[in-house]
Amino acid sequence: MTVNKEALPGHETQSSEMNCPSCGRFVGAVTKCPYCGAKVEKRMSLVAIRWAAVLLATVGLFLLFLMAKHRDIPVVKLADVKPTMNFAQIRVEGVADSDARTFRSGGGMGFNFSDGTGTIMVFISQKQAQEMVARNLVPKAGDQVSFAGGLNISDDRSSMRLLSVDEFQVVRAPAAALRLADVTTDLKGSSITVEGKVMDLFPPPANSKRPYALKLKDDSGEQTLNFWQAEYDQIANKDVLVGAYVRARVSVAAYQDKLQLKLASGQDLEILDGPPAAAAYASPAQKAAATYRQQAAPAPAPRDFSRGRSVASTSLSVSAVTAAMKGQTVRVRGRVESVKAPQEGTKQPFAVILSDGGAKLRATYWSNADAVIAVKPTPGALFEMEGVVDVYQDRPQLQVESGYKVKLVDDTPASTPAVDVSKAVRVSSITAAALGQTRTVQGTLGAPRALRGGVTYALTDDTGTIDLVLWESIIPVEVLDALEEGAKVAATGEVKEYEGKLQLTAASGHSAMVIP
Amino acid sequence: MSAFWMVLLSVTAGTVISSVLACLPGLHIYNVMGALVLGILALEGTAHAVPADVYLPAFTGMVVGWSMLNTIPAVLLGTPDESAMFTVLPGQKYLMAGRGFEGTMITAVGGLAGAFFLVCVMAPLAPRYLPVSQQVLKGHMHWVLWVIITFMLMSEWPKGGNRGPAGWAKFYDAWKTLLAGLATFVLAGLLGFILLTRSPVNHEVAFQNIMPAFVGLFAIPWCLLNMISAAGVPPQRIAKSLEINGDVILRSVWSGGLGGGIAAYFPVVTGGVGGMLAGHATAQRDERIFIMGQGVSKFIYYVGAFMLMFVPGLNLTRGGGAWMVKALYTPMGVADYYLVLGSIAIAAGLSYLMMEPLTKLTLKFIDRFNYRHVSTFALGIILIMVYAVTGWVGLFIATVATGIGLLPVLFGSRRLNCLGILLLPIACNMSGFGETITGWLGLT
Repeated sequence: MTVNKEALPGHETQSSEMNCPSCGRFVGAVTKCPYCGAKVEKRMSLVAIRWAAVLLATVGLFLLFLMAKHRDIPVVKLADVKPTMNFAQIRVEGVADSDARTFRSGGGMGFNFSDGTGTIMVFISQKQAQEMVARNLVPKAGDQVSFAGGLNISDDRSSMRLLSVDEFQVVRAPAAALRLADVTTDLKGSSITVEGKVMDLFPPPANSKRPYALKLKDDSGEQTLNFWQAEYDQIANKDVLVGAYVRARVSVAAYQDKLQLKLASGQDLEILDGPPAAAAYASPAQKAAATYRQQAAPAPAPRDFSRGRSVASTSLSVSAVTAAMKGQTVRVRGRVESVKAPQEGTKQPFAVILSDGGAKLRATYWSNADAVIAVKPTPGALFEMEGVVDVYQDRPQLQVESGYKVKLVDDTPASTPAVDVSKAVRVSSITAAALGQTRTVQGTLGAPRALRGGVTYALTDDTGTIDLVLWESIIPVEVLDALEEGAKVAATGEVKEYEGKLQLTAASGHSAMVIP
Repeated sequence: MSAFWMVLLSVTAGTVISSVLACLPGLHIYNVMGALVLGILALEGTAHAVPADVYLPAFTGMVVGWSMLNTIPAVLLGTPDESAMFTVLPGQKYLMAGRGFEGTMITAVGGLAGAFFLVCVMAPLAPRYLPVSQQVLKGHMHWVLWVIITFMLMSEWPKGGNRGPAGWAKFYDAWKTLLAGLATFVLAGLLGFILLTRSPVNHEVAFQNIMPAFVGLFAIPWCLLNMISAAGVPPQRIAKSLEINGDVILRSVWSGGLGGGIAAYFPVVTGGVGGMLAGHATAQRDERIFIMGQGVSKFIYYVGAFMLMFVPGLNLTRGGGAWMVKALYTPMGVADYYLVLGSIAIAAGLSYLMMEPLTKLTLKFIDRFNYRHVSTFALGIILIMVYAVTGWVGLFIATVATGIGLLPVLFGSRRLNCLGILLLPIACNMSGFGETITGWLGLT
């Protein structure tokens, strides 16, 4: 038992822990009184608490790290996902509903995933996408996949973000080998394998957001494979693609009732050493015919390695070609006004008249060049041709030497502009009452604002301003290319509302035009 | 009932409820909103489904009421969240001088001024300029975050090493606080990597997986400190007037609006960081301006971030409140914007009126009970809440976070460094190398 004694005279100002609580003598820092042996309580050092905190923080953090590292991520069905799971890391198992698509901005990828109880969009970062391409893990429609990801839940659109490529498992769905003629929109959503000869490759026009188009031909017919720049960059030996025989795994899709074959990865396109062997789909007779053709067929036409190298990459308008350019190799773009095939028994060339506004240019090529043109020129279609400028009767004409230099740019015939300027109304007259109705306006364009898949201009007339929205999917490239800030235009479209503001969404086709 | 009365009643109810709940230490309104979101979702598709015209104004009122009144526990009970922690030191100075009432009311006036600034100045300009600025800045957020982190770490200066013979001892004395600050930032950052990449919290309540860490980093250390070292709170005086004027209010709005605006607009940057940046940028020396500016900053941080979700043409989700509402509703057009702005204005006025009686009530509570006991009571509520939402795992996370949160308290460095829990992993992720780091850690 200890008895508190008052400090001895002279020690009053000292801290109580310096004096013995029993005998009152000064004891200093010791914890046991050297005079009476009583225990002396000391205040806990702040330094000790400090280092205890450091110890708690580091040891605790390490334990938490071990716990997190060794914890199994729970497998969750999409139907069971609740808003309270926002930001949760979960594992899902199911099927890729679509091919993984590389985003044009950022370099990441995304695909739709379904586990039978629900569907969700899965985002893959650029680094992960590169790793998946390197490991051939990029999911394609129909593939069985299992992965862990972070949930991001919102009212209108939920998504997952892939956690780790290491934990991404994919079991490839079998892809049926089909002849091109047998591929129909009924196969939409499935992955198939096709083989054939690459007739031509059409890069997207400059400043366009269109995909590459690869014309593939086999014994049964011809189809176009579409892919983006990212997939094109992944194709091995792409310089020798045109004229080569290839095998490609593609997914079947449909857009506006038109069949589309999409190449999800450049790795899915394999250049073959020669014409493909008769495939399993062929009948015995077809096999025999294929064997015969393989033996009897002449050597494939020499590939054109000069594509895109001999002339500037940008194409000229028809009016820009003059007699002064005689001897120069140029690439010209214009609409086909007429096509004149040589009469039988003569040695005349094919003659195509290209037009652009009021200007016209005659382009000629020989039958051997015509034989390799993948898509033959037809009136109304927009074509690009490369050749040497010649002068005939003081007028320039284009001598096209290779059929590979004749390319379809847009097969939509240029119709009479759909904009009837006489129907134009004042911008201020467009009110909420006109929502859903078609209106024609004319005015001056402001600065363009890029949208995902389109562009918006502020169109101003004397009475007001309205946003003119043009979607790339429904407006021809040449219409979009003709529009620029400051241009006076007329446009027809539907009045819509977005974020509380009225806007005019240009109608499909040639619904906007520059007016003088 | 007409839509007008429905909205008015909802916003009033939301404000009153959150104002009362704000006085409870450690209880964040986002926890309450999370529970309400669950309830609303459960009722969806039934005859008792809650319409958006009811829950949107109610949630707005809750965010406004809480951002205004959480000053009470922060200053009087010493349990701030990270956005209020700057208010605490000068606020407690007022408390120790018997002027706790005045300190909280000055902060509340700041909140009211922030509401005027938000509704009358920011709101009309936001639909026109914020979408443009978002387009310009969205590709630059990552380096902006790194600049903020760099400034935050480098603007902490040595607090010792001025005297004594040269040598390691003097060097350590000088660097002790800085090293503690850096260690806090790194440890909090590592905790953030773990929680954001592979959180041990049950996935069913993942939307609250950061909450235990925040409670541990900010609220618990303050409670512990109060329990260990609490001095008696002197008798408090209820003032009839405040020592402020128009000049003080305007300068507070300038500094606080800038800080709160930065915090509301930039991802991960919180009210505390925004307040620090604005404090340096505007260099306001007056203590009253500082306290009131923090009130403005806190209001604009919480309420402004919530408002951004409704700005036509912006579609920006910032802050926990907006993320929770996003699970229920996608804002459409200007009607929602007006609804939210009106709700903010009503709720701000109402919550300011509630500030005075609730402050007096809390002061009576402190006067009646020992401050150490009050802190113990606050700590108890905090721990119960963490356990109720996230279970034992949450308590474990809160304990680890408390260890990290105690470092700046015990070593005298800046508590803001605890925000490394979000700043470090998010900045790394936005810069594209977060996955590399989690790969090194073996988390992915």
